[in-house]
Formats: sequence, C-alpha cells, structure tokens
Amino acid sequence: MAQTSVLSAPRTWPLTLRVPLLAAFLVIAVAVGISSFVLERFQADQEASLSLLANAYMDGLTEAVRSATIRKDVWETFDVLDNARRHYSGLAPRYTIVLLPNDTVLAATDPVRFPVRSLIDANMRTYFPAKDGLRLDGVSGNALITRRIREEGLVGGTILSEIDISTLLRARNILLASLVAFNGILALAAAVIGYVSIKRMLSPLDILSDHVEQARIGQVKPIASTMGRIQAPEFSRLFDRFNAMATAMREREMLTAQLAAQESQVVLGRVAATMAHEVNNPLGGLFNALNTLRRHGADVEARDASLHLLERGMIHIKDIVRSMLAVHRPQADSEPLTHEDIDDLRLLIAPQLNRRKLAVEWTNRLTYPIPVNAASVRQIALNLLLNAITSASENGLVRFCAYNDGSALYLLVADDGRGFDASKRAELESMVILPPSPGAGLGHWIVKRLVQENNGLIQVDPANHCLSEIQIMLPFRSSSGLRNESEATESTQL
Amino acid sequence: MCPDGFYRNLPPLRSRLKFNRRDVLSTLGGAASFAANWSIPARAEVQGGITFGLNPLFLETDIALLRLMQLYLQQRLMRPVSLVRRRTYQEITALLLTGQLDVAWVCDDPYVQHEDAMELLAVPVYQHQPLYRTLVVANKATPARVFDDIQGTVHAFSDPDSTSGYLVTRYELALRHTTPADFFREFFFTYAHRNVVRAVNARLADSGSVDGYVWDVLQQREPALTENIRVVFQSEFLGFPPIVGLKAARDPSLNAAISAAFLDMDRYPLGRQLLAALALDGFTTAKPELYHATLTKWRFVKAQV
Repeated sequence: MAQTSVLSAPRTWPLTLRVPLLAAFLVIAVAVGISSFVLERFQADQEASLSLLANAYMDGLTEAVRSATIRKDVWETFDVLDNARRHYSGLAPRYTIVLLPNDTVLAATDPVRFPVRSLIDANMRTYFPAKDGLRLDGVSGNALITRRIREEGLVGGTILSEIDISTLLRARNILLASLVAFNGILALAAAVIGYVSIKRMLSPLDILSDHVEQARIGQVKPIASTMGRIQAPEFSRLFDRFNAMATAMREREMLTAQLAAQESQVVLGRVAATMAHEVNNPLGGLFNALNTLRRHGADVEARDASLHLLERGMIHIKDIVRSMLAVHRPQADSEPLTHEDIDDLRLLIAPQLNRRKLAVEWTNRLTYPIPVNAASVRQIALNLLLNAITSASENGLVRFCAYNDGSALYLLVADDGRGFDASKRAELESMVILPPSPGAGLGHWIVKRLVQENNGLIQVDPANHCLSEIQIMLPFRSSSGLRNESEATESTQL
Repeated sequence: MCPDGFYRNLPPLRSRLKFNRRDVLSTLGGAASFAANWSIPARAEVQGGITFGLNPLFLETDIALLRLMQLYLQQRLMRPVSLVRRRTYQEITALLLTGQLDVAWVCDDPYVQHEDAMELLAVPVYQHQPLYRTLVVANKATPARVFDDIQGTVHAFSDPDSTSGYLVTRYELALRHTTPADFFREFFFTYAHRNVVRAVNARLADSGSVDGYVWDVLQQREPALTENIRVVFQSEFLGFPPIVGLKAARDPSLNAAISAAFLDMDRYPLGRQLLAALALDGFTTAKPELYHATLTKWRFVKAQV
C-alpha cells in the first residue's frame, strides 16, 4: 500500500532517484527520437536503393524476355531468367515468373513450383502488386515486383519476381539493435553519473539533516567550518546560516537554563517566604506562650496550656522544616520514590493552597518504593501543582493523584481553571522541546525536559472531563536506563 | 600431306597477304571475331576465304573449341576460315543451299532432306564408328522408365530439323499414330542439345530428346547437368551428322581440300587437339547409304504429316 502511494507520487521520491531517472529518461527520449530518424532515413535509403536495383533488374529482364514472351518461347524465356538469376549479383531473387496474358506460366526460375503452362494461383497473383510496381513485405522479408511486358501498347505478358530482402532487414535489425544497445548504455551511464553527481551534490544536505535532527533532540552543535569550505557556495551559505542559528539556539538555551535556575530560586523564594510566614504565625503564639510561662509558670493550668501551645507550634514548625528538607535535600538518582516523597509535597504547597483558599483532593496510592528518579518526580509534581494552584479559580479545586501499574508511575494534576488551548496542548504533548516563549513561565518547560529525560510522556486532558488535567507517565527504569538518564541529565546541565 | 591441287587453288599473293593480316587479327580478336561471325553474312565477310557453317550440335559455350577448329582449318587450308553459326539448323541449311556457305557441319536430317544437293565430305568417327544414337531422357523425379511413360509430360526438343533432337521421337510417336501436341502435355524447342539437358535437369521439362554423343560428352564434362536425369529410350545407331559441301560447288577442289583437312586431322597436333576437344576418334568418308535409317524415319514422319 505504502509502495503504491510512493509510486503514484513521484514528487515524493528522493532527488537522488528522481534526477538520475530524469537524466536517463531524457537520454532515452533523445535517443528514441534520433534512432527513429536514423532508422527512417536508413529504411528510406534502403528502399530507394532497392527500388533502383529492382527497376534496373526488371528493365533488363523485361527487354531480354520481351521477344521470347511475345513468341511464347518457353526455353528462351527460361534461359534469360536462369542466366539473370545466376549473373545478376545486385539482387537475390527467390524466384521469377513470366506469365502470359491469360495468367498461365510461360517460364519460371523454379519450374517445379511453377510448371510450364500451369495457371497461376489466384492467391499468388494477389500476393504481388496488381499494377507495375514494388511492394515490401517486411513480415516474410521479401520484395514483390510486378512488371508488365508491353509491345506496341498491348500487354504481351507479366513478370513477377520475389526478391529476398532479408539481408536488408537484417542490416536494419542490426542497426536497430546497435542503437538500442548504445542508447541503453548511454542512458544507464547518464543515470549512474546523475546518481553519483546528485548524491555528491546533495551530501551537504545529509550533513545539514543530521545536525537539524540533533538540534531537534536538543543537541545543537554547529557544522564544522572545514565542511562548509569544500561545498558549493549555496551550501556554504546555508551552513553559515545554520551555524548562526545553532549558536543563537545554544545561547538561548543557556539563557533559558539560567532563567530556569532563576525560576527555581524564585520558587524557592516563594516557598521560603511562605514557610517564613507559616513559621511566623506560630512564632507569635510561641512567644505568647513563653511570656505566659514566664509570668504564670507557677500556675499549673496556665503552664500546661502554654506548654501544649508551644508543643503544637514547635510540631508545626518541625513539619514545615521537614518538608523543606525532604524536597531540597541532596538525593541520589538511584534512590526510589516513596510514599512520603509524594506526601511531603502536600505540606509544601499547603500555604499556597490556603492563601488561595483552594480545596485539594489528594490521592497517593504508592505503597512501596517506585524505581523512578525521585528528585525528578518531586520537581515535576511540585511544578505542576504550583501551576495548578495558580491556574485554579478562586475557592476552586486542585486534584492530585499518584499511582503505578507495575511498569510506570502516573501523576495526575488537575485544576478547575481555564485549561489549555490547542497550541499549548500540542506543545506539551510534542516530543520536540522548543525554547520557552518570551514572557511565559518556565514551569511547563522544566516539566517537559524532566519528563523527556526520564523517557516519559505527557498527556493533556486525557479524561476529557470538566477539569483541566495533565497526566505524566514515567516508566520504571532499568539499571542501564539509569546510566543513560544520568548521562542525559549531565549533558543537559552542561 | 596436303591433297593435290590444294596449292593450285591458293589465292594471289595480295590476297594471301591480306589473309595473313586478317588471320593474325582474327587470332588476336578471339571471341570478338566469333561474335562478328555469328551475325554478318559469311560471303561478304571473307572474300577469298572459306565460310564454314556449324549447327548447334556443338556445346554452345565451347568457344575455345570453335576457335581451335578455325585455327586448324586455316592452317590446313592456308586461307581465312569463318565459322558461321545460327540458332536453328534450318538457317544453316538455307545458307548452304543458297551458296552463302562453302561447307557446313549439318545434322543428318537436313542431309537426307537435301541429299541431292549436298556432297558428303567427311563423317565423324565416334567410339570407332561413324554412328551415334538418339536418346530420350527424363528427370529422375518423374516416374518415367520407358518411352511410353513420358506421355503427358512437358517435353523438350532440340530443333525441328534435328534427327536426335526431334525426328526420332517424332518417328516413335508416328509409330504410335500420335503427334507431340497430342502425346505431350506441352513441348518446346531449345535449339541446342545441351539446352535440352538443362531444361530437363531444371524440371522446366520432364523429358527431352537429346543426341547420344552430346549426352556422353556432358556426362563426362558436366556431370552436374546429367546426374538427375535418366535415359528412358535409345534409338538404333544412325549415321553421325556429316560435314557437307554443295555438289554444285563453285570450286570443286575446295570440297576436296576441306574433306582432306578433316580426314587426316589426326595427323596434325592441332588436329589431334581438336579431336580431343570434340571427343571424336577422327573423320572418315561415307556413302549416302549410311543415313538410310534416318531417311526412312524422315519419310515416315513426312508421310504422316
């Protein structure tokens, strides 16, 4: 099916095939034209030559047998025919017959086939031209000649002669075969030369294509300058432009990385500010409790109440600190993801949720350590959750779910915000990582890079319900996968 | 060596000189001279010379043989000799009888028809006798084995005045109370015995009437012509075609000289060469009775007509 569609659309064929085919086709077309012309001229010359020879032969024969035919002299007529056959080297008559006006044979070079006085067969008579003239029969390889013997205006007899022109036809066929062979070789040579030339001419495109492909997967590197120098000026300019583009992309990528780092700092700042706020709230109560203890420490009831307040405040601060430590502590790539790693995030986003008065539906179905990059997962989940909190409507809802199916981890983050437009959705789901749009946040860009580094997939609104939802699938990794991932991460950081 | 009176009949010196010059030219001219002799009346061509008519008994292609004969006769007769050939026997006979030829080698049929006017000068000796046979031949592709088998075939005759090439077959048909037109599907004349053989060999004719002497020579010299032909009839021995002059010759001594030239041909190297070319033993004298059988047949046929 695919083959048929390719055949039916030659424009989709590669240039390395189309150009040689076109060259071969042109050579064949020219060759066919020239061959036809040559063959026609050759055939015309042969026929003219044959006609001259045949007329000369028949002129001589007619004059030689005229008298004998008028006298109906069998022997003299035969003698002339027999001598003409043996002594006329210009033509190769298969047989010659002299007929009387009543279509009986007076004499023939082949008396066995055409006995004296026998009536000539009607089919044989129509085989020859009815009037004086020559007709070529290419099928049988014969030329057929009719010549009437006239005496004082009356027809005294007719000469019929079948001439063997197989030599002429053979010469014509040899010429045709030579032309076909020569032109075939020429066309083949043109095709091969065309293929090699186009292949060489288009080789810079392969180089360019390789570099573009590398750029597509995020490994932009300029084309070596030595390659550009040995190419045609068109490709040299193209290489220069690509290199300029590659340089710009790399610079942009570096800037983006810097932005991402700054964004992380911003996120950290926001989290730190929130945490400070969270810590600050119980701190006021804690200082009050301390004052109460200082002033009413002797009062057991007041002391117990203050100690209880101090304990709760300290526990709250401890939880906040623990979650911060959990999120930002250095962690090895090989360390699996635990149930607590996910739940810690909830603590981390709690201040943001509270500030926007959002409800959260939190589902953490991880029951055992999952073989995925825990640091990446936490980064992904935190970014998605923060984006969801930002996108959700006032007093709205944020939904989070983490689960696995034995081979992959799934993260679902949804909110009741406006959702994603088609271009944003396509951008998220695409495998191509484009530089972040100017003015746009880096959260999704970071998520996408991390997902790709972990060989995962992003799906937007897969359930198609009223909430806008992003689903992340991260496959469990193998030991080799860990190594590759480690290398990929390293190169990205570079 | 030469017969008496031969020198007495020599032409004057001027004529002899002229003869010598012409002889040399003629000798050098070769075949071209023959071509001239074929078409120009003999008497006008050779003043003081001899005109010798030949019937187409000879192998028509054997120009060298004719040239040899001319040289031999000129050497023996010491005067120019023109060989005159015509297509038919009738033409040669007419030229002789009208005095346009001094001597002629004719068929025995014309001789018996004009015996009263012709004088026998010499008769060829073939296979030790002055006789030959007539043959009727047929192509081996036909079923013909005997004479009657050739009925309904296309038949090739040599000449209407030829004994072997027509008269004998005509006589056999007369014995059967039929004619060529009734007996054969088609017949035609080739005006040469060799042509009869060619016609039968090529299947232009299924059968033919041919001279036994010519047949023998062809079998030896051109076997390809005869290998596809079988003999279905041969006649009794007949007198060999003679060399004749006119009884009423202007110069009777010339007849004697010519007769001597033929009779002692085997005594001269050129003569022996000529005899070898002709495949003859020599020449001899004969009486008219030698041709009695031919005369009988001719009369029989003539009576039927």
